[in-house]
Amino acid sequence: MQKISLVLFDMHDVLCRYDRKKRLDDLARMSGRPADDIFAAIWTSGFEGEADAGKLDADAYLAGFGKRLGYPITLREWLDNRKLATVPMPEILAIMAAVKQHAKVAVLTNNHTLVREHLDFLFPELFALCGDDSYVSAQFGAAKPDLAVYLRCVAAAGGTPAETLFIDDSKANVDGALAAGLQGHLFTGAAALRIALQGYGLAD
Amino acid sequence: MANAKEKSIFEIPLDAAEEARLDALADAEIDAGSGVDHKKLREWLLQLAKGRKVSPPAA
Repeated sequence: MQKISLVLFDMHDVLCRYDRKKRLDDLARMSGRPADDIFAAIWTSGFEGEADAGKLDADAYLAGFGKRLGYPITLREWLDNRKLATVPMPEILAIMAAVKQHAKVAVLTNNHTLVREHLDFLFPELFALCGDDSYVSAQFGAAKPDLAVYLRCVAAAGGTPAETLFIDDSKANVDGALAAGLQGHLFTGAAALRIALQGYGLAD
Repeated sequence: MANAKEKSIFEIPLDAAEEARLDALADAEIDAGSGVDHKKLREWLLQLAKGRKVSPPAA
C-alpha cells in the first residue's frame, strides 16, 4: 500500500458547492446591471483566470472586479457576495475531518489571494480543518493543471509528491497531479471517495 | 504534461430550472427551521477531526 502523509483536496464541487446563480443575482441587484453582462465582464473575460494565476494582488483584484462590475464594490460587499456562493458539503467535510486521524489534510483551489486572506470568513468549516494549509493557486503563480502549482503546494505543506493524494472533480486537474508525481483520485461522490481512502489506509 | 482544457464551473451553462428547484428546496428547509448554522457545523467537524464519533448537528 502506498503510504500517504498528505491529502490535498480541491474546494469547489468537492468540499462546497458554488452557487453561481445566487452570486450573480446579488451582484445584479447591487450594480443594477444584468447578470449575463456581469458574467461576461468578469468570468468569461479572462479576468478571473489572471487572478487565479497570481497576476493580480488582492487590491488590484478588488479594484478590477469593481471596474468590470460597473460599481465600486467594497471589500465587505465582495466578501458577503462571495460567501453567498459557498455552500458547504457536510458529508465530504466529515470525511476530510476523519482523514486527519491518519494524515495531514490541505486544500488547493484555483483562486486568488483575496479568497485565501478571508477564507476563515468565507468558509469557516474548511478553515477550521486546514488552517494555514489552505492554499490558493495565486500563491504559487500558476493554476491547476499546471504541474508547478502541485509541486509548490506540496512543498509549502511540507509533503512529498509521492506521499500526497490529490482529490479533484476535474479530470484535467487530477491528470496534472499524476504528471507531477502525486497520487490522484477523481472525485465523483462520497461513496467512491471513501473506498479510495480505505485503499490507502486513510479511512476506516 | 497536463494542459488539457476542460470547462470550469464558470463555463458550464446553468440549468436554470434545476437551480430554481434546488433553491426552492433549500429555502423550504430553512423556512422549516432545518438549516444548520456555520458555527455548529464547524464544531462538529472539529470533534470528528479529534476522532470523536459525534452525530451531525441538528437545526
